[in-house]
Amino acid sequence: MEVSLEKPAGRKHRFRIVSPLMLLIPAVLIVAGFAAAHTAGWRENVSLLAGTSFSDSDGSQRQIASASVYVILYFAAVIVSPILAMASVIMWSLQKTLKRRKV
Amino acid sequence: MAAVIWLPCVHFFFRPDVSEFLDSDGISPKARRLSQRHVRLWTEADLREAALAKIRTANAEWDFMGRSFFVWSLANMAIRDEQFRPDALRAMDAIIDETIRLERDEDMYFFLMPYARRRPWVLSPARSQFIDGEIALMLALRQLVEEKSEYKPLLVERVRIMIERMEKSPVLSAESYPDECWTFCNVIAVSAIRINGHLDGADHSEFINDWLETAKTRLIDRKTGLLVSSYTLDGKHLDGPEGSSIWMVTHCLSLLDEDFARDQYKRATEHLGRSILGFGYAREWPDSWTGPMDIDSGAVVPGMGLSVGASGMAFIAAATFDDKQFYRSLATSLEFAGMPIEDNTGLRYETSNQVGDAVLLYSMSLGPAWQKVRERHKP
Repeated sequence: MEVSLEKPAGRKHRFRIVSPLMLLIPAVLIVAGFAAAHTAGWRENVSLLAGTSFSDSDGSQRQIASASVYVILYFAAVIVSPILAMASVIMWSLQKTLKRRKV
Repeated sequence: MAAVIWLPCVHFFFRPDVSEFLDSDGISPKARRLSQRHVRLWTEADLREAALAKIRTANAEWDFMGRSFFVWSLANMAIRDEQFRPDALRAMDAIIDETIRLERDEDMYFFLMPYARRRPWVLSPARSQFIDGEIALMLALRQLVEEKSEYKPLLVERVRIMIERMEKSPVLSAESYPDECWTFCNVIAVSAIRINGHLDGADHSEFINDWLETAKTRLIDRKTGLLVSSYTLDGKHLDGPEGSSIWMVTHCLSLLDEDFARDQYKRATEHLGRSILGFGYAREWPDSWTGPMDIDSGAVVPGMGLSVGASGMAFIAAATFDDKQFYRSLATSLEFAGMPIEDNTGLRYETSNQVGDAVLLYSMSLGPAWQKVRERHKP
């Protein structure tokens, strides 16, 4: 998607503020971050946030922090990431269609 | 545009088959796996000590309610599956014995929140209906599965004490905390009284009918028609209808007065039950009432009013009234936000805790115990 911004002098500048790749990269990074947190077993620490845990963890600040990061990454991976990825595909398709029309 | 496409689709990835949770005849697969680690917890001493120490640091009430809901679940599971019965009875007895021992040795404050000591109780001697009612229901359901002679006098005596104290109040209720009666605790107590009558033939029907009549006339919130959650010993309303309370109340009412129970369930789903994009949840308060976020409600999501505690309890009511659509939408939220983990110790939900798991298990197993009592009382 391209946005035109006109300066007072009348010179026209075109800024590419968002591109399909710029949407896809954070989507992939979020999923990668979530996969890493999941593999590291941080999901097991989430019970600390619910006030109890059956695991042998001692409820240290580090575990609570990892649980909080896991929860954020989980919801980001399930909700935000697919939206970004889908937006990237939609944008790429639109740009392709527009280019074809110009030609 | 991507959000408009994706958000309504998310629930499809988490929507479970209700038969995984509810089974009309036996024990559902989820119930079996969820109970697995809790049975171990109560039959293996070292595991139990560690788990209870952790939950008690959060809240003494959770420790107690986790015990109650788990015993009530095991009773229903034991009726559903004879092969599971010996394990269930062993765990039930371990919990009941230890709970009664703690109540006796440490006193009732062991299971109450600190504010129980802040002012004097109205009824003397001080006792909590929260403790009496739930222990009575544990004993009653244990006896319903299989009679144990040691428990009979304990149940009969507790029922006698509860009735005696409730009759001292103009609204036939006893305090759970000083000058604070809860519909939740009193309806559980009345259910235990009803089951005790079923077990030993004692006729408490007049008392139960009087309690129901009083509840219908004195404990109803005018705006919603729902039972209020708490009130003083003389019947002055404190908190209005509350999600973390009313769903369990409707479940207990279904044993006592099916029409009243169904009416309350209908109103509760109208005022407190919600579903957004396929995800079901329950509010803690209806629109007409502004209440606090507390230990019962759990976290409340601002704007939506979504309460974790109320949503957990809603499973029980949805299962009681065979509302599979609402149950499925709640289960979808659970699978999405509950973060289940399955391993060789069974199933657990990471964002839940011991009470949450026990409440869920109860929703998956309830039915047979109430049915057994109802059948005997059919004309």
